[in-house]
Amino acid sequence: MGLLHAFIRMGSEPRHPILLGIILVLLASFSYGSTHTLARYLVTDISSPLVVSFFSTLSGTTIIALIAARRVKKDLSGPKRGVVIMALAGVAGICGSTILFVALSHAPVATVSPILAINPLVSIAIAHLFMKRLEHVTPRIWIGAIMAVCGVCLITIGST
Amino acid sequence: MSDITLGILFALLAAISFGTSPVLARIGLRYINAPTGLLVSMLSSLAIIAAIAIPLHGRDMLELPLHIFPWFVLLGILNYVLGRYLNYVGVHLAGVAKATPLISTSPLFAMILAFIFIQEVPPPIVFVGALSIVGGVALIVSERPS
Repeated sequence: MGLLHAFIRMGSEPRHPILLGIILVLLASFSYGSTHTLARYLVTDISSPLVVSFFSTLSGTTIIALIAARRVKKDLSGPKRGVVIMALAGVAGICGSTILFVALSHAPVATVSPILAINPLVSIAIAHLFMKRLEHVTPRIWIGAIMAVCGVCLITIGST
Repeated sequence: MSDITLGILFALLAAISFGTSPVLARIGLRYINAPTGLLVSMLSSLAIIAAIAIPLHGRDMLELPLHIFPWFVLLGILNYVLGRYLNYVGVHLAGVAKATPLISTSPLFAMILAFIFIQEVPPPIVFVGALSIVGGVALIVSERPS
């Protein structure tokens, strides 16, 4: 229960927010990386990508609902701006996955994956253009992001 | 328009969608608690995928063997309960510019896991890619907050 409580409270006022944020994102990346083999098995041997996506989203939503249950009523009674923006974030995420399946049905993985890998550059560009007050994008971050994207492209090309 | 060109256009659209999601999460989590924000994003995702998947594959879904469902749950936990939650909270704390390039490192972890568990030795070009990712991440992480 202590671990679950820490998990839920992770985003609220930590002592070193940037360091914690970086660690959490790397853990998220590890978690996404560990799904590749499982997802490949499910979409090739079991069912279509849409079915796999539906059932995994349904189970993820159910678990998150159980975790968030205690605070949902209080949080949703506040300003609706956060709810609308988070709903749009969810729509953008699932549209990305669905359009990706469509892209893969027209072109091979070796073509699609390197293009998809540019998505952090899209995020940084949007942040740079529209969130100047919140985000400070330095040349060092641009160079680092481009290096990471090139690395992902090379790994994808080398693995396919 | 050729099939490959269409594929490239859709891949670009997918990259724009994936790139927009963390930016919206960064803004949204300023107004709402992280687990509730994630739940809202998951519900909107579920509504869309249900609207597409059920009409197209409703019958296939009913015919799936029961022993497969624990794998769907595991995928849901890894992808959403851990992946998306940690991603959103990480972006909220570290910012879009620092966090989003780090999330793209997942192929590196997939490669390491494949090497550890199935002894899959990648070709040399993959090592060059891994070095490039590590170098890029090091540059981003070592950037001092202004």
